[in-house]
Amino acid sequence: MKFDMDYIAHHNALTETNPYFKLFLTILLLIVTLALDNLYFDVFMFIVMSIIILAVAKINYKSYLKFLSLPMAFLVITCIFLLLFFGKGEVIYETGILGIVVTTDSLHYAVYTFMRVLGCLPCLGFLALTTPIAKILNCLRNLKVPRIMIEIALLMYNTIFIFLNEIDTMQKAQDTRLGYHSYWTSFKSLGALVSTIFLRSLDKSETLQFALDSRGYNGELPVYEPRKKEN
Amino acid sequence: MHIMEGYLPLNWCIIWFVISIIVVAFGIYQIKKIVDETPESKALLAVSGAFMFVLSSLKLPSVTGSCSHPCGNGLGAALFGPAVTAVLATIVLIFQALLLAHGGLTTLGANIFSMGIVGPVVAWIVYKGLIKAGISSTIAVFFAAFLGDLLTYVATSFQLALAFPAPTFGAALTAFLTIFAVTQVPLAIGEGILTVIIWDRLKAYKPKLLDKLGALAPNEA
Amino acid sequence: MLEVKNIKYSYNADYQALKGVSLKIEKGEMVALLGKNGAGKSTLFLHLNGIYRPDEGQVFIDGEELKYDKKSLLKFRQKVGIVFQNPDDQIFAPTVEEDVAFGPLNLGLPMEEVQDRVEEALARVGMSGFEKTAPHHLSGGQKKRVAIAGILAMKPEIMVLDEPTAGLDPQGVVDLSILLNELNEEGITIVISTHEVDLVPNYAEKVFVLVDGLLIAEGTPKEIFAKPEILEQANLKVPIVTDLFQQLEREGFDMNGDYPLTIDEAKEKFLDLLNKN
Repeated sequence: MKFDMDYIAHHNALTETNPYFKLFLTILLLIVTLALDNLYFDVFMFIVMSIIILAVAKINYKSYLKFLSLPMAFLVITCIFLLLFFGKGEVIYETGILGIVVTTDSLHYAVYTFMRVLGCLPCLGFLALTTPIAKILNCLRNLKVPRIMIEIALLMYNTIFIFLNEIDTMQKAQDTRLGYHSYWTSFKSLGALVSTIFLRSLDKSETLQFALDSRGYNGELPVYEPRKKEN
Repeated sequence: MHIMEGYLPLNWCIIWFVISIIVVAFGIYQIKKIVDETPESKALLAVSGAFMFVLSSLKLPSVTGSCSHPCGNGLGAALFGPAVTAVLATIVLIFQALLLAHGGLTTLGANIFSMGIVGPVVAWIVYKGLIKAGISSTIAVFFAAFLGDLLTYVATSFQLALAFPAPTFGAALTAFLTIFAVTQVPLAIGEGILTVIIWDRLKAYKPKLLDKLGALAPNEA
Repeated sequence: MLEVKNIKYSYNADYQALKGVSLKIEKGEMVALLGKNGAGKSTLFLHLNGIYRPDEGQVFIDGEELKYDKKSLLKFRQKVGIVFQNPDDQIFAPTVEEDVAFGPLNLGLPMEEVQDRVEEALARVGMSGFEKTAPHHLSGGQKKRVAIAGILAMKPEIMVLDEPTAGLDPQGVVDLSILLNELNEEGITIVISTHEVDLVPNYAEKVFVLVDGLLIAEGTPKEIFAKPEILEQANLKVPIVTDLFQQLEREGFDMNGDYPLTIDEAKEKFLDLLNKN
């Protein structure tokens, strides 16, 4: 993966900050931002959270821009869509194409939605870019989210990266042999790739079980509490 | 098609969360039963979830030039049933939000509803229905994946139209559906074809597994 | 002491992976199990701590027969630790320390003790400082060391390593050999499966040769590498230094049937030959 949020989450100035604090802060800020639905507050959140991500967590601005870029591109498109096709009320601008108009309502929808996402995205970024997933899952386990779900998620986590590595290698190998040369060959290559990964995943589920059993697994993942570092 | 962070107003976030939590809780109860009976299935479920995540990170070649990602819900539903798939999809959606910035935390409930519940339930009903009607599992799995995908988009349109009912709910729904019909139908066909390719290889290499999961047509087992 | 008596195991009706294997490894020994890919080495290893249950035959550890109920399995899995060939198959936890702590926690040890063992095991394999790292951010060699630490932390009596040098760079191989020799000197019995014949004489006191699910030979490295018919059957070759001296013999040098197996032995032999002439 070229853009690796997981890597950033493990290597920033806030990685070791209390995950409960980060999780609760994120959820609280998201709820407040949605509840207020105030344009000024949205801007305020965007600026404050961006400063925290860049200056406090010390995340490279390029990585942060990458985090924002994909949702933002999508956001702009959908907001233009909202602007042109939704709403009743007073017409405030006529595009002159196919009778498409901007109304007071549609402007309201588009602007508020745009700003709401703008205020919320950095909150998600704050959690996702500063906190390794495993820590969030451990929090959730202590917060009484069903254990079985957390255990499946924990076992999933490592496997995901093993598969992603394999896919990366296999895709390069297919590409080398012109596997993505045309539309139809792309499909066949992708199908072969995915089914191979699926068959491997079945083998992987067996070796995972062996690995767990070999070290005395009793059906439940034990929780390790690392020693607090003395300063 | 993930609804992004912050896109829905608070009231709709809460409503979809409540609905989804009920279904997911039922799924967790089912998984608990399965794991109590066969403890090894925990590893299989975890690895299948990882597979779903990885699948959704692949780009599907698309005719319209836009690109999208297969979601594997149809396959999951045909193999494990909708309740278990809903739980796996929930974990996958959390991972997608935190690892890829696809979707979000406030819209998690809404996304679980469309992608983790509606899609798999439709796929499962279509799959089981076609199998019962004596159609081969390969064709059944195509329609399961295709319709599962399609209904996921319909559900998403529905959710968006409810949140932005202007000028009326009906008009908004039509607008969202039109956009999705143009962009997403080719992708749903794509996912259908991809699922068939996977399915045929599964039938060739792991027929015993499919049989054990009860996922094959009676005449194929 | 580890003893395997006439073990047979089939994956399915058409494929019997082990066709009656018996072997005995004494306490404190360091032995090698030689055989090509697919000979049944990994299958045999998975019998040693009860992951696979043989169709026929028994496994004994310290004279006690391996039983397959939960309590006995836990006891035996503490005594016999298996390091998998591919560390990706073994490591599963989200962080290095959690993975190393997994075994000791399953043994029901107090947290304090587990923390000590994690620190000690990571220090032992030279991975201190990586406690919080996610395994997928490590290199292949580092993963291997974490996998070994995960087993060390359980303080096994017997450590079984499946192709431990696979995928390691040359320095990694040297480091691993040193570590295994140290562990062996501390009293841990070590069993290594491999097909890298050059390394075997450096550490192994005893060698077993497995071919198609059958043990066809056992003995000291000297004995085994003097039997070309055995090596041929197992798709193996003599160590490269041995090969050199066998070729020299054909050129007219008298070896008296004694071919060096390691670089050190080769050096002695060379000096010997030079002095004679």
